Amino acid sequence: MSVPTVPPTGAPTITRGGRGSLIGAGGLALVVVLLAAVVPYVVTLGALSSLVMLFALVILGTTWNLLAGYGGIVSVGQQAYVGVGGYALIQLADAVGAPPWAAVLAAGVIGAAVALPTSYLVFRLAGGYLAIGTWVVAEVFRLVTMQIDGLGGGSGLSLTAFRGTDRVDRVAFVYWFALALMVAVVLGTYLLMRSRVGLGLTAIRDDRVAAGSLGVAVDRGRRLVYVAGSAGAALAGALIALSTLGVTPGSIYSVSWTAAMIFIVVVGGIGTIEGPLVGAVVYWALQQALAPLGTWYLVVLGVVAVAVVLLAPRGLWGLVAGRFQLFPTTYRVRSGRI
Amino acid sequence: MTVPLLQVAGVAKRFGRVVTARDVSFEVSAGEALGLVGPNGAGKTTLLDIVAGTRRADAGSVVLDGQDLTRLGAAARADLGVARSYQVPRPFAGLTVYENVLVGASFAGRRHGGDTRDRAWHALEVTGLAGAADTPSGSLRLLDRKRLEVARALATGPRLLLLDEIAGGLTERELPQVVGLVRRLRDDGVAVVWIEHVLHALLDVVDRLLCLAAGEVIAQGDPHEVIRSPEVVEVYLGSTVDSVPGESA
Repeated sequence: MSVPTVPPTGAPTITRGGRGSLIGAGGLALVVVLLAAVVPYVVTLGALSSLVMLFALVILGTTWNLLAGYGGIVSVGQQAYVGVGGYALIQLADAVGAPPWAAVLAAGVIGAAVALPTSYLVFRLAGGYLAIGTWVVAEVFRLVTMQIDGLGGGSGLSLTAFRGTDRVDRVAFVYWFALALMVAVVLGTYLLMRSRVGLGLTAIRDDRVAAGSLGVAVDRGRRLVYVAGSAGAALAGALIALSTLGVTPGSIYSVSWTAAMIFIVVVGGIGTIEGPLVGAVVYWALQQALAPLGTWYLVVLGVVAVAVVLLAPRGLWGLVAGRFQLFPTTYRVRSGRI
Repeated sequence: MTVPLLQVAGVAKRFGRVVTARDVSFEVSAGEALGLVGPNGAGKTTLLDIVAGTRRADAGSVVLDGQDLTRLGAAARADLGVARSYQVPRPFAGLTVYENVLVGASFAGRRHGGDTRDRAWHALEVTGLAGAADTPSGSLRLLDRKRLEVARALATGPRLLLLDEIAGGLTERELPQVVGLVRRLRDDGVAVVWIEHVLHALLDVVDRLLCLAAGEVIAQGDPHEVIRSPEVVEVYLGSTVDSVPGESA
């Protein structure tokens, strides 16, 4: 028998993360404080705007990881909700006159509201069919958007709510707001995955049938993940529209958003909270460094993705995940005899 | 007379032209163990699937403690106290052994209240997996995966436990542990339905035996009478009558 049958003496202690996690979390908190309190005063406005894009990428990666890495839902159509979020933001801020911060949050709610009925359609499919099906849904969203005159047709919309606002004030506001939103999304995802619901979602990802037999409400769990993940994509889309001051159907509904999410999650490490953070930084840094190269930038991204998949199949974070977790979601048993 | 905990009545299921269940009816009381035998392809696992809710029957009903489960899904049945193990183990490969069991304890097992972690740990101890608690379940050997199947089911605190070939491949030294575990559960008032090809292990525990062949119940009742009945000998044991356990013992 491979397993010792001697029962451990004493009740076990269950630990979730150790001193390393605490130190790591402290370091991460320090980074957030620096980003909030120091960075805005030492870099250019252009750099701040590009950091907003990084924060949006973190949100996109984190929520796609929630879908694929924890829910087992490999969607190639999350740009549907990036687009819904972007358009919702501009409509709410310009036509309705909501304050921009409220418009972004409401865009997330709208993303969730659209995702809920869509999930009944998408969940009729499985595996590769689901992937393609979600992409089709995103195309339908884009085409429908283009047919609506009030949404600017094929040329899209510009955000006018910031007219008359000083550029420095605007960029600073968007920066801080995006930072806060990113922190909230990452922390919220972490707390969800650390909870009982998160354990059930992980079980669903690994074996849906077995999870059901143990009382996990599989359909409800997957729907929760899809709706939450899509709300996150809509938040990111709203941030992107807020930062770039406009949307066009071609760019905001572009499949390249989902391609970026997949790159971020796969390169960073799927099924971990930390992976998408690492992946987003890598993607963003490559984007910044390779921008002058034009199309070659995509070639380099592809090479990086292939190299990581071959050399570190569990992503860059997978290289350290066995020893150290910044966001401990696992349980470790320390029985009395150790 | 007490009402049986599980009442299966008139269950039928076919896959295309293959009939895997035809008018199958049986009952199991709390504190009773029923053995399920039959040749490969007789429909034993399908029957377990239908009771557990992972498959829908074409006809018939499944009633637990007076409550009709027929239209409920697997998770809802698990919440009412139906637990099962899978013949081909289905571990949550990305989770450790302890985390696997914790899923059972904190979902279907939650109805009991109390500390879910204690219940998870207890399930590991009685199945002999406590020493492997932190092992990634994906790297377990087959036998330990089978133990994990049982441990997860136990962690839900079941009223009805459905076991699908948990003894196959165990050594003669390990068999008594499994038999003892099933006996203890039964004596604690759990109703057990156990599919098993290792007949002498099964006959050590079960109170009644049901033999399926081609989706039909061909014998049901006292284990030793069932195993000796001509129909069972013919379809299930073929010509190897000499090797009937219990005969030689």
